[in-house]
Amino acid sequence: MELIEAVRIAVEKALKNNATQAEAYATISNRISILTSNDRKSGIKSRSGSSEEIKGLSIRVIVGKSLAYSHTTILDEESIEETVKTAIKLAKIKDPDPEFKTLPSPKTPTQVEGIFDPKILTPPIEETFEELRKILSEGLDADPNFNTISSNISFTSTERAIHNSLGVEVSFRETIVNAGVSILGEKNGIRSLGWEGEASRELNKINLRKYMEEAIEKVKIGFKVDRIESGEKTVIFSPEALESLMEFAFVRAIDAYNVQEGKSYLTGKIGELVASEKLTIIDDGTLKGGLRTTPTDVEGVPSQKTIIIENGILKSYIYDSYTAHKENRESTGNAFRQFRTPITIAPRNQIIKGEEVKLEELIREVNEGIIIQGVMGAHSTNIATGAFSITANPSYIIKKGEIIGQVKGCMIAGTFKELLEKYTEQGDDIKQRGSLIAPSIKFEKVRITT
Amino acid sequence: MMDLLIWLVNKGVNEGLEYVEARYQKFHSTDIEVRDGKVISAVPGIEQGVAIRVLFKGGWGFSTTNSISKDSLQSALTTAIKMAKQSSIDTEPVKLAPSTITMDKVKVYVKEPLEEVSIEEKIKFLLNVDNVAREISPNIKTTSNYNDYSEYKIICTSDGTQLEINNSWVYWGMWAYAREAGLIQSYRDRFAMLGGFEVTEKMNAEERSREAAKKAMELLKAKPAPGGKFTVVIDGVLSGLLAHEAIGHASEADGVLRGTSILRGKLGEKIGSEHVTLMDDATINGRFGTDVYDDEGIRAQRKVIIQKGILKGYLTNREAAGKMGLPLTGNARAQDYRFQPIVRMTNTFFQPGDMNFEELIEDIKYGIYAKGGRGGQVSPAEGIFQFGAQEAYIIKNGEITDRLRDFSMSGFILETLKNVTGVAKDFDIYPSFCGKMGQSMRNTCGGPHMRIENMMVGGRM
Repeated sequence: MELIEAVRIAVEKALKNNATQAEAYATISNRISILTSNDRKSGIKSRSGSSEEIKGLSIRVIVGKSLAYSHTTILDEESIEETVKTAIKLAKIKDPDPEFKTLPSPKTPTQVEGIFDPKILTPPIEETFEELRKILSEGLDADPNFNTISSNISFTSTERAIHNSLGVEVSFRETIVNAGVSILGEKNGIRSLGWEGEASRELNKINLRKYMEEAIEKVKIGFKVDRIESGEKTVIFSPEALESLMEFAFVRAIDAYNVQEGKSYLTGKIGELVASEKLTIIDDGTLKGGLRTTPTDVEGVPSQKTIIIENGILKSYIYDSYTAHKENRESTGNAFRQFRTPITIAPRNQIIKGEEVKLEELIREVNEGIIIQGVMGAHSTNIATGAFSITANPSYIIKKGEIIGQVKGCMIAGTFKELLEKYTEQGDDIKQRGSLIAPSIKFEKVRITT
Repeated sequence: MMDLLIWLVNKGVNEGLEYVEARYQKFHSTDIEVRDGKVISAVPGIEQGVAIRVLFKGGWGFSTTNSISKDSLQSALTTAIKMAKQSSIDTEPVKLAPSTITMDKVKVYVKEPLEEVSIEEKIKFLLNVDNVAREISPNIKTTSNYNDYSEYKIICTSDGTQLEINNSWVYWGMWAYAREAGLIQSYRDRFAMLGGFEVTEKMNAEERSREAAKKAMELLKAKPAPGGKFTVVIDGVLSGLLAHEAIGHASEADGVLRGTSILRGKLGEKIGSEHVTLMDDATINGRFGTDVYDDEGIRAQRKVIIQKGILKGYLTNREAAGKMGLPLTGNARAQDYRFQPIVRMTNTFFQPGDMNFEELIEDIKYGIYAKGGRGGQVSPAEGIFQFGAQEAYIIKNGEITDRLRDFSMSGFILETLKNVTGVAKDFDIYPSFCGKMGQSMRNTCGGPHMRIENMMVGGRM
């Protein structure tokens, strides 16, 4: 059964079973993943290819003012009917939710570009394996101190269909290819790990050789270990390190559910200065080729651009229709769901804008500080306060404008709001990492413990 | 369904594959979320699918689908074979550790089957435990979750193993948020066990929920933690996190085999002080990490990983055990039909010692006492780990004094366990979901109170 047919049947059956309103969401995703690694000491070459085809349908029904969900992976009429009935039955026993107003009304989906590449539907499996074999063997040969190299790639295509009883009807396809190379080396007892990779909507944007070369450079820098004293230092976050921290320390803080319940440190701070005046953060669901760009969100609300922070001032949170209606405003198009889960809020492409300089200059200006490639422990961030306590790993010491070596076991504790206030400038090495689109970003006088 | 899997496995064998493993799974789940006494969502769901894993001349292929018909399974098998053939081009043969042929049907003990309990009753349970937390103070807000899961699983391999497994579990978790004069603090707790709805009676959820609210209120008075190196005493929940992050992951033999664990080549070596004995035990009745068989059909076991500081064993799957000549431990686990089995921990814990808590702290001039887990992370390849605590206190001259907040610790796998200088005789064990290679797996980790010297603490002062 086609997805669009499945969602129409689901909504129709819900209305027949006395739903006041109903919405169905169906998805089918196909993924091919290849995991490979070579190990010098054991000589083991490990290879695994996998394929996945997962489909599912989720129904949301409203009976009076009661909402309920149910889902199934069996897309035939009988199962859909059973799923609808489960949801209806559940809605009838749940207390009404006086704060629920309505499902979204139909609006024209946003025209977006660059989210679907037909080449990813039938990925070049043989050529990819061939290239991976080359990359692994060349990467390991690049330095006698390299011990293990791994390279993974996945090709995903997803089709989604959304339909509700008010007339919303949207379906679209999107693709993502994700690839990376990781190298582990050991020299004079010092272990160093280097990774580089990228996700893209387009197959041709992926360049395994480039990732290998950059990973090699990172491992080599890490072979030198140096020391830096504890204290307030200049700290540069790479886009990947910042994304890991922001997922737990910022994205959840602008989620309207957490905000409305008073569980976010940004509750009640609209119009206030919450970051350096140089800093602007935009949530953009319309950006060409963005990993989080789609015509609409999963409720069929057109994608848009939302300014979150402008010149340091908090302008908006991110909403789905439920949280938006509670404040008598429009959804920002940030509803997210998998067919197994109820609707939650998720960021689109979050773009960080500020004072841009060349990356070399960003590093050259540092007298004493660190540049962080990854963080550990971001998930323990307390979203109610924004307080985090993380290990910066891997991270490298910068002294007098030069990266001089790796620092082992460096910890950073503070609140995310304080960190945003310490923003000074950013590089020109813009990358998309998950939902974040940002270059390396510099913060001054950040307390580090080593 | 067993017949369909046997048909599929035989088809694979006829194609010249060395090993074929087919796994069918159907599960019912219920996810309920309550915030501040209001039911946000209550989602019942049913899902089923089949996973096929094949081995051809040293190359692995895997395919998963939730379309269950002969045609779609045939097509999934074809894809898996295509992948395996590509994987095999430059690899050496894989010799799987020999397994005994097992024909068995197992069922976790369930008193009140989840499907016989109405969703109203499940909602009522959660609303009640959510409400009692907010009775502690008008300044408390809450988020509470209830999840249950019952599965029927078939594992069928080309070696002749045929297993039918019925499993069931219940999870409860909550966050309490305390607000006062512009300050917000949070505290979380959870409980989970295998079994039916009767698990909710063993949870002590009401008391735990009230306790979490009180702790969140107390944290409002806490001060930021100091940064630096300290003597640290951790409770059983945190020593469990240490067991899991600092050593458990590094002892997973798939990483050891691929060269991404710092513990490679360390079998028989001293990697901890004599106080350190670490177990992984999949056989504890009803514990959240317990299995009877793993997803390769190997009997799950009780294993010693570290005995009195000496590394005694790794957790294995059939490939790693075969290649490294190690015993099979039954640790190949998959989150569900969408995933390949990978080496995972089950119930992992440090063995208690013989000291009292007071003896652990009495000669500490200046140190830190930390309790309760806030999650952790490890890089087994580099040998560094990190974990967060919910509560912490300064220890001054053997006395517990000022309360701290936002506290986390970091250390190196090969150093930290050598710095364990005391282990208490108490014991605590805690359920969690652990993430690895995109798979979330149920497990528990635990241990006694432990004293560790020279531990790195992240702080703001």
